[in-house]
Amino acid sequence: MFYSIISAALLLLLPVSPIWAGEKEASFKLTGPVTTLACKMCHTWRKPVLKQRDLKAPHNKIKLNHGAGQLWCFSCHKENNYANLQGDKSAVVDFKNPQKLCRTCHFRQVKSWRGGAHGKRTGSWQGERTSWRCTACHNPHSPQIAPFKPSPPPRRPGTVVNIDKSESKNGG
Amino acid sequence: MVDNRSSRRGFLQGTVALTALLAGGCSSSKEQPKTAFEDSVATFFQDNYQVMTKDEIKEVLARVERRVKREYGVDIKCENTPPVADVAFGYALNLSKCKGTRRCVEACVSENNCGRNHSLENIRVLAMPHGTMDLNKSDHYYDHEQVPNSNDWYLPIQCHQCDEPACVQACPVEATWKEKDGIVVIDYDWCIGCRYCSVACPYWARHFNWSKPNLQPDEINPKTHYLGNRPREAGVMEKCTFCIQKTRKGELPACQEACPTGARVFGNLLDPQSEIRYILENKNVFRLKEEQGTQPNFWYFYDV
Amino acid sequence: MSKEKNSTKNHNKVEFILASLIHCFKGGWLYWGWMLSLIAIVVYGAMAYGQQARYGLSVTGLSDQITWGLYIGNFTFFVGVAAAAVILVIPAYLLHRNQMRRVTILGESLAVAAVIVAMLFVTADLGQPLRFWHALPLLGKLNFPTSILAWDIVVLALYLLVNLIILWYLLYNKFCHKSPVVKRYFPVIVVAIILGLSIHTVTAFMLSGNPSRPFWHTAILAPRFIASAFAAGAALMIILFQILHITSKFRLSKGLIREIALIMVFAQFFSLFLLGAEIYTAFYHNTAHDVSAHLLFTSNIGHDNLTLSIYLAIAAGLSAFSILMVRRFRENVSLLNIASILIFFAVWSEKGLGLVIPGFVPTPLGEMAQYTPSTIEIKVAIAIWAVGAIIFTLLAKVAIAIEFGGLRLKRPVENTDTEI
Ligand code: SF4
Ligand code: SF4
Repeated sequence: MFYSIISAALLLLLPVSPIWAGEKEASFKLTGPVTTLACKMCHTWRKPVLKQRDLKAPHNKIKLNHGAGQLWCFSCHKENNYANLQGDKSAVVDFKNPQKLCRTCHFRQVKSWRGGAHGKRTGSWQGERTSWRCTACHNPHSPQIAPFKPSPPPRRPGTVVNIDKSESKNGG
Repeated sequence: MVDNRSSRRGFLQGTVALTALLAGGCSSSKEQPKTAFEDSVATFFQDNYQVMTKDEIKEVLARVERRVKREYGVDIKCENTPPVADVAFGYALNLSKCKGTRRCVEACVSENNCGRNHSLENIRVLAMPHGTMDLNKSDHYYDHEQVPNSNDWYLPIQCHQCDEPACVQACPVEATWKEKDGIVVIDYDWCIGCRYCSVACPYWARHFNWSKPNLQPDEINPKTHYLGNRPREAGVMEKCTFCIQKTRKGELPACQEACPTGARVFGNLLDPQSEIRYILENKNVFRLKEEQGTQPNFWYFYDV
Repeated sequence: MSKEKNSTKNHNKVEFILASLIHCFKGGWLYWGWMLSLIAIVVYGAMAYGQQARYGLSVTGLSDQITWGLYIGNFTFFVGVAAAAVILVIPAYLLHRNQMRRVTILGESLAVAAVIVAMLFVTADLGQPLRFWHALPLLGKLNFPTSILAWDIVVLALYLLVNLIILWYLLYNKFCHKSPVVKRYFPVIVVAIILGLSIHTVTAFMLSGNPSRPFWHTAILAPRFIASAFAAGAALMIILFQILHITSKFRLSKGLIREIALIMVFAQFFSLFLLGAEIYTAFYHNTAHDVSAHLLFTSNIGHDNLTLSIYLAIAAGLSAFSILMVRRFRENVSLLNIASILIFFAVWSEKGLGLVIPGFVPTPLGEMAQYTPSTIEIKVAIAIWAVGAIIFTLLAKVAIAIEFGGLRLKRPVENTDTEI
């Protein structure tokens, strides 16, 4: 589910090569798709626009809806190091450990996530913990979780139909 | 109780033998496949799970598998995985994260072989209007195009696996009890279907099979546990068992796996490193209807 | 020598049973018409029960929201009716109203029938009735003393047993030309009185011991049960005795009816008083605890029938009480009969359905569900009433024949003081 949402979102990016990677981070293992960007394919010979503007092709698939208009590509990606992430006030961060960048703003969430109160563990409740990394659930460009269509409601009492084909039941 | 066992045993075995004899006397050779009638007679005289010997349990499990094969044509595996040592299960649910998708309900129904026709769902997700905690104002049947609906917050409720379970206290025949790992289970072959436990439970966590559960063969989950998700019969109670068939093998419960927002946290309360312990120690948690005194093992919390 | 004595004793017992059985088949067209129509009803109801056995309880109007209904409502009511014996036995043996002693056998017969009916209602309510043996001592695994339902099973069974013992003792001795010795069975009578009060109390506790159901979770429930049971039991007996007076050799003394009517007045007074106290607590403030009562009395959830019947029950109870309060009215037979019928109806609807169903609304998760008994349920319930009527008729027939009609052992028994 997460995988499909996120990878679908990320596949819309430019040349992309998603790798399913597990990476050990401090106390537990992370899982979820990891993307590496092929920015260099163009941006070795073409200078990126560093200023904030409406995204045009080939970047127009990216819906940037993060940080209430205050963030721009280069808030998280740096011109000289497309292979990694780097925020304005963060160290260079590997794509496998996005929380190290996210925490510059979302330190509360990352703290909760480390403790296990945010995000989600997967696989097993015992033994070594494996949890989804931030980007497994949140599209970094538009991190709000989209609304859902709820699964159907339970049946109201009195509207139950007997399964024994022959007889149809209704209490009321 | 122990003293009574031998006499009960004797009586039961006598009756089983007698009935089998009456049934045609073909049960003497062990190799012969058991007939449906023989099996149901044996199930009728079957003892309470809590006092069965290992051999009896083995027989009983095989009988369950045969019954499902007969009724649905499906090969299932019915196990009785015992509790893991030094484990007490607990659940925490993040109300800031829950968006009322009911994915947990869906996953629960298909994991646990619940009847598909009777809204026999062991999790209820309540849509609560903002500004109130009054359950009488809740909506169980919300069916919005999209959730979260702006007027509501959501409160999922299932069995809280209480430490002082009112249901266990109520049952007149000890058909339900609390296991060592904290899971409150039902012996579906022992339950007489009086429904007193569901009257007693403050969380409305017990659900009755008013008729035979409507299960199609392709809907059956073949990995089952005797005290958990094996297909039930008509006239017995059932409840959430924290997916005993999964969690006792180290897996996570189906509702936790299905939740798309990560609102559900499951773990071992006795493990200080577990996430649930982190939540209990670092978040403002609360338990629903704590004043009922059943000491639930299910906590709710909010972000921040 | 003693062996011989024993064998004659056994012989007497066999004869007693045979004579009683044979007597059950002796009766006029009225008797046979009555019995056959009851049997027809039972057969009809048994067919309805067959449906329930086949398709499960889903043929009833019950649901996870309202898990108990008509069956358990009738169960609580009939546990109350079983009080009948106690109402007669207490004055007869503890207050030395000797004229009542002869009719206690009818009270006991009624108790036996009512307990059996109560047990049948519980059985009809079970999802797996064949597994009843799980609740038997030694064989099963009765959760005693933790589960109040287990207590209920125990006290009901004991109460049935004790009443049968008393009945047997009184009738058998009479049958053998001996007069029963009060001293000998007085301890059993005391046990019966204690058990009679316990079956009510325990049944009330079964409901009131659920903090999750605030409507029942009140200490007043047990006293309410006892008060209303005494009223309904007395009412039923007043009517039954008059019917028996007309249809059998049983002769009713005016004084007896008066005494029972007096018991009914007091019981009804307490019953109404306790109900009033309950209503006050429920309505003086508007707390979540009292939602069920509010819903019941204001019919906000569409349980109109229930609300209506509760108001009718209260009205009936009040008017019966006002009739009974005036001595002149109380001693007028037809007014007394009206009052008795009103009380019987009032208690049935207030303590049967009116007590059980509102406890489920709202559910612990705040759901407002509805319940209407299905036709199958009603048929089964009526059939169980009919079973009760059959049992009572047979017991009363034999009891009256022995106590009032002179059905006796043919040979005189030596070495005993022959009566009459
Ligand atoms: S929530 Fe209800 S069913 Fe679950 S253990 Fe507690 S009392 Fe029993
Ligand atoms: S329904 Fe079953 S588990 Fe529940 S109290 Fe009755 S016998 Fe026990």
